[in-house]
Amino acid sequence: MIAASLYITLCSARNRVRVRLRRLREPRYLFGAIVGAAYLYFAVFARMAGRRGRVRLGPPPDMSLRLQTVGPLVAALVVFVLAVLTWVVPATGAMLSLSDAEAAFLLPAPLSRRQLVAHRLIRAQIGALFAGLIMAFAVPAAGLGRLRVMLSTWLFFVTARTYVAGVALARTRIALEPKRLARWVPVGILGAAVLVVGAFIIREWMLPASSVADVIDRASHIADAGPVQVILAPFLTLVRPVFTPWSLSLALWWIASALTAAATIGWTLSNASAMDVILEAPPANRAAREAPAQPARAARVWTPWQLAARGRTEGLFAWKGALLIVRSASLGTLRYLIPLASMAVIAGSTALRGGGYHGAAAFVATLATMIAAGTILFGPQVARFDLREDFKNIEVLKTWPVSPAAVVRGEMLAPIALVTAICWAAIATAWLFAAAATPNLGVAWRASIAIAAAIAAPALIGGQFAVHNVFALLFPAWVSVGNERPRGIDAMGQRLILLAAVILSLIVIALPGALAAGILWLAFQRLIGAPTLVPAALVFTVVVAIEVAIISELLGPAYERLDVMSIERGE
Amino acid sequence: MPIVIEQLTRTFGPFTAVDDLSFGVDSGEIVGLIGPNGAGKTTTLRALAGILRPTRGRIRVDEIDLLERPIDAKRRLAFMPDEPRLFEYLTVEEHLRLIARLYEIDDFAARSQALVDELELKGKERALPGELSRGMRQKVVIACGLIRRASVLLFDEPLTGLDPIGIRRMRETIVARARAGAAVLLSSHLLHLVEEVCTRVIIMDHGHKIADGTVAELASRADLAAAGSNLEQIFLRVTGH
Repeated sequence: MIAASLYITLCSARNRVRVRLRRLREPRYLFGAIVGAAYLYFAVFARMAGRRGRVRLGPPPDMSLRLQTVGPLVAALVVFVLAVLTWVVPATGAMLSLSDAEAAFLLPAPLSRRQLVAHRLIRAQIGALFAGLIMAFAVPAAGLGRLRVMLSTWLFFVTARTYVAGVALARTRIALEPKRLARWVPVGILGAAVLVVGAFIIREWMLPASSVADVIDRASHIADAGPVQVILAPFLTLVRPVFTPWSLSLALWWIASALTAAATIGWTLSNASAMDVILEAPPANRAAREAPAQPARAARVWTPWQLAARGRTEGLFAWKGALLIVRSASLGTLRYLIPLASMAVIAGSTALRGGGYHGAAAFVATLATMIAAGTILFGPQVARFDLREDFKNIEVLKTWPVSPAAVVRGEMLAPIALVTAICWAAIATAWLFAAAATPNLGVAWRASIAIAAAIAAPALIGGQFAVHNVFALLFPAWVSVGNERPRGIDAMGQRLILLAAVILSLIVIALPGALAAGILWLAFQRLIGAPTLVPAALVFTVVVAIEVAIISELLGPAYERLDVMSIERGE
Repeated sequence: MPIVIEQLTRTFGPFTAVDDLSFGVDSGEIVGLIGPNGAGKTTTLRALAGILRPTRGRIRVDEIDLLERPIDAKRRLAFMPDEPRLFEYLTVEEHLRLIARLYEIDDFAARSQALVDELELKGKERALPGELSRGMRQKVVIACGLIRRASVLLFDEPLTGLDPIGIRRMRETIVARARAGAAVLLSSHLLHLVEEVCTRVIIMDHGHKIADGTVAELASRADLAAAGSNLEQIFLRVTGH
């Protein structure tokens, strides 16, 4: 089986490279490759070369020493937290997902489930090696140093991915045999570890952090504590080689790291019998496998509102989009929310200290402001519940007797409403607690800023969604469908070009409204003061809304002309 | 004539999938579109459904030009593709409700119930596509196509994934819709089904129409088949096998 797995892996890798080279004959991939390569050169190599010319490569000696002592501890703590989250948040792990071909050929083959998991493990090696390679280029190190980083991160990624798959299998086995105590042993060990580490975390984080350095110091204090050190030992073996220079101790750490990886692989294979349950959905059927993890039935069919028998086309699409949002939201969403929330807490707490303000209310206000800003900036990029997501159903949509402009508008409504609702909630929270964070601002100013922000938010969000959909319809070959994306430097270059174009277009859309609002502000702020912000925001929103409406009308013919064959398919 | 295709050509880069194809389908007719893989059958159906724009040529649905008035034309046709494409987060009932709203169907409840019974989807109304077998999903696609009284029905391999009872019912359904006045264009590799159900057959190969007529007419042509040939023998002969 190992020979067969290696054959599949190596042949696939070789052919993938061939396909990527061959597709460079298409101008979009060629341009993408040029931009991607230029980005990599300027972002990594040129910067390193510049650094090399000025000073020695790598961090300064005192910083390097600090990194070697504190870095592994903090990294081990972070990995531990992620390892715990893997149990909390359900994830099957990419390693256990079979491709259509694997499902068709390997499931009926005379293979044990253990062999099947081993096959997936072997197939994951190329990805892990590539991730290691990227890391090697990303860190400031010399030639052999890069090799060290690559090998160390490869070992880390192999173990991490295997662990995620192992957790999925172990969870399934627990669900199958909840009364067998042996199944609960890993959960028990992890639970006890969480209690110990959690106690230390709470003790260290009684007060908000004052800076990023403070956050790192506290994390290292936690990881340095005796009982925590014991708990973090396996995690430390995985991260330590990344921070250790070439030496005998590196070789020893690698051996320890390899032993941890072997133990993880062994544990995962021991649970391989649960693979059948994970693959229970008809394996040869992609649609079924792509279906969401099945939550409780009542939640699954919950409908926010019933579709009326009559009404505008936009309403129909809004209803469809709302169902998609409501039903696709799952515990898996926590995977993205938890790291984002953690970053917001750290950033909020740091900003608070930097501003010299104290107290929970000020902290909440700062945090809510950051969430509102982040939602406006990144919400439309992340919430792809519009045409970008529905491109996979375009063959159905194109047969419907509806106005193309209405389709474009309707597709944007639900995600605009979602992102705006989150943003409004954050703005309202920030306003409620704003007095503590901004004691120098008067009530009128605070209220005016909050109301103006709430009025302008949907325009900014809607404008971004419009721009994204413009590019999806005008350049369908450049927009990836759903969650699957084309990979490679050329595809990365394409995304960079698209991102730049989106930002530029957004500026163009916002400019007329911003100018009109600015004129209003200049004309009346001396007379009315802070409340002038409200009509200024209103003018801005009206101008942008008119532009979005015009754009959606203009996009109608583009939708009609859209060639379904030109839409980019993921790999 | 509900379906009129004139000089339809569709290219994909240098490859011509359909080349200068012309034919029509009358009300009550069931026309079988057959041909080897890559003959251009699905491309023809997808162009007729408004999914692919023709590179050249005209398509009219109920005398309405599909390119000039796509919305009006699409209102009159129902396309049932071979691959059941459903919205993964909509239940069976919600799919039907969505189509009812799109096509402004008044008696949704009655029609929906009748179709659920006819296609044996009872008990699956609240199921998501991910919970259905391939055959069941195919039935949902067909239900979505039949819930409106379209004057043009386009079937691309309608029997794929159906069980024997489902196949029999589907045959009856297709014939019943044609008798009710619909123009039916059906693409299939199941030649016995085509021979049994279709009133006329079009054979395509390499994007061209190479034969058009009833099975009896085709069998009577000396250049196409020996006397008394069935559709399979005609097909093998004209496609050079």
